[in-house]
Amino acid sequence: MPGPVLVCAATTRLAVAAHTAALTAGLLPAGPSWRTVLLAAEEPGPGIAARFGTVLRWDDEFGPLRPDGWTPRVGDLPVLERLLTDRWSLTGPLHLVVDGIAGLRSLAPILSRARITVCVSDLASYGPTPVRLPVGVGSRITSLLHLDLLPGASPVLLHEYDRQPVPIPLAALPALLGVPADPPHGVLLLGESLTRRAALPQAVEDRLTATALRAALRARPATPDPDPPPGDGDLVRGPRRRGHGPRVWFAGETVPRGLVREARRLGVPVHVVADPWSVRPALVVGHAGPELAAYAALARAGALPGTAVAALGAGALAGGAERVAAVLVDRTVPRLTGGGRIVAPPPAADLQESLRALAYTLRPGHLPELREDALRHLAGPSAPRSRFPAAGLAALDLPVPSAGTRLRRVLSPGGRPRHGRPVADQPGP
Amino acid sequence: MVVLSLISPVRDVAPYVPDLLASLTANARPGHEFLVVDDGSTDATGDLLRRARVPGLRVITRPEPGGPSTARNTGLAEAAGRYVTFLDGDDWIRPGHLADLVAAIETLDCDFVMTDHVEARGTERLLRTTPEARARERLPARAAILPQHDKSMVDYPFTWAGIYRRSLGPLLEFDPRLHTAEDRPWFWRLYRRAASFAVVPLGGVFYRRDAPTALTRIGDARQLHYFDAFDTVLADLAADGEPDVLRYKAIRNYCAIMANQIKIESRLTPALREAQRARAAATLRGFPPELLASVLYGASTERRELFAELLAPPDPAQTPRSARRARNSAR
Repeated sequence: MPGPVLVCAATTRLAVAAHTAALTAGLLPAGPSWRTVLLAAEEPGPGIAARFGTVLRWDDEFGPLRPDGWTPRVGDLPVLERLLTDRWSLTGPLHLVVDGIAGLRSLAPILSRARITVCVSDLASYGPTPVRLPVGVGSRITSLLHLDLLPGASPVLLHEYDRQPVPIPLAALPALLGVPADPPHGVLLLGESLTRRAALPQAVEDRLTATALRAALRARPATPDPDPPPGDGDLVRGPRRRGHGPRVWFAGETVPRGLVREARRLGVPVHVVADPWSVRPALVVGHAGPELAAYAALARAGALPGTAVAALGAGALAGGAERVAAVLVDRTVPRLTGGGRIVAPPPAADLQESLRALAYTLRPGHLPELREDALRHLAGPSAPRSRFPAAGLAALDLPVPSAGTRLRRVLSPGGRPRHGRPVADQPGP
Repeated sequence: MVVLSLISPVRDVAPYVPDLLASLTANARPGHEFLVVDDGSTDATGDLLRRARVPGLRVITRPEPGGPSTARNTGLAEAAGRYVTFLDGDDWIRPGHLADLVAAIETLDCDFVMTDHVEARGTERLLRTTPEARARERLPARAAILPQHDKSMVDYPFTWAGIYRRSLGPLLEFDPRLHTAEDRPWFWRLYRRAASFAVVPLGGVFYRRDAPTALTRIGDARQLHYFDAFDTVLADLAADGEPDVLRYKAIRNYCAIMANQIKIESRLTPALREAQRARAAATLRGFPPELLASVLYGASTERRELFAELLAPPDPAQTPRSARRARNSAR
């Protein structure tokens, strides 16, 4: 079949929804004569599968290799290209859509004829390009699309390739994700996902989710469960308070033991759901991850009326991309205090500048033109909120911001400070 | 009517001449001429070439070696083809590769066309893609010098991976002073001055990486010509008033090559090691400080430490020998 083919490689449900939204909004170069192939790592909803000519599952095609763990060897690329071309009938013009760096390091170098669109759906991808791309990939990237997660900020990903980021409107997203049309009720706790490298150690996660459960229950007044379930998916056997207290859901790959213990102690049933979009909560609480960012963006845009979103403590910061996501969430998503209050963040007028400054500190060699932004931002008032590592700043001859504002450390992991310094002294580890 | 002139500078490549001649034979056709320039070989190269019967072959013998630049220039002076390409004496090409190259440049109608290549190390084969990978598309040559922060076409400086319009004239001439890295300033000038180019993936050139005669493995003064090569690039950029962004790219590349060459300095004589370090230090001091700082911010700790070591003022109480000893014991 020599016709043109569009291949969308999406590793999460959110990414699949983003790619589909982009396709529907006409942001992808696929006309009516194009064959559309979706390569999904998680089960796409029925609404999405219908929009693609072919739906492939990552595990069937590449298993046991994982989408974020595979960088094919340079020597194997010609053979892999021939095999994929035959297997997927890719003989005509080819356009590949990837959802982030993993795709740019695996499928992009294999499909050497393809032009590439990068379509990102999380805040970690707002940060700078974290690695060197394989030879020949950068030049084939034609555009960068992103879910419009932060009005007023756009990704600095691929900044060095001069691709202007294009936002994908959020309006179509709830339908694509399969969000139920029920009236919002209950609390959804978003846990760490094993598919992402967990930024927090298990003990910290336990403590955080326990605190989060308590705080979330305080935050939501007791609304009777409109439709008590017959007992499926209950985490806790014990005195069940049917009709009392809000429904509590937990979405994540493993349920933290701390949550189990706390739920038992409070006598609150917690229902584990595999898909964070299959419920319609009145309050969503979680870490700075893709689901929380998407929920926050949808709530902010008014696409989920009646749903409030709050972030837990940012906790210990992991590497670059996690740090970017944590900082952006810290600046833009309301925070859930231990006492159950939801505290709105101060208005973030200079979000783009702080993002550019953070990007420069993470990739100074690749983004030298952003040094001016970094200097300007570090001299400004909101610098401490950006959690720059002090040692890193010194190595770049950048001024360390004075910690005039104490960082919001509610629901932080606590315990002994890592380096024995007072919390308000230097931002970040 | 000669369509294509292939220029092959060779010196003491007797073990590889049979493969070279087989490549040429498999690509021989009316309108193709093969100019093999014997640059003062002292082994059996000359004999083997004299006895060769390849349609279109012309052997030009230079009694005294002048280096690959002079040899190529000699070939260029004799080339009658509308297009020119190159092949090193220890590499080989697929049957029909040259016809594909000619077809590409005629169809795309641009000043030159670059192609990918296969690295051959023993029986290992590795396909190396061009950094610019939008294939079969006529592109402005100048734009291919960037991006700064990723490999670009000036990071793919292989004359034998391209076919060039003969009418580019002086742009095709090599600097005879340079015996290594002569392709660097050559490509920088080509991408700045030519109008258009294209990239075509053919996988038809095989680049031998384990040939003992390859200049890159020889540890003599010619190994330091990369300094002159990059100084030329920077001087040309300054003389032509090119924007800072190109200068930044050139300096970044220059620093990377200096660091890599010093890392493998053990194959040089002690005197040459000193000379290389001294020249590197002088070069680094000659860069605008803020530009060098900008490059170093993105460099690895290892490289930053090396440059700091190079730029440290010399200890007057230390002789070169004791300095070397101190360095070697610190490793």
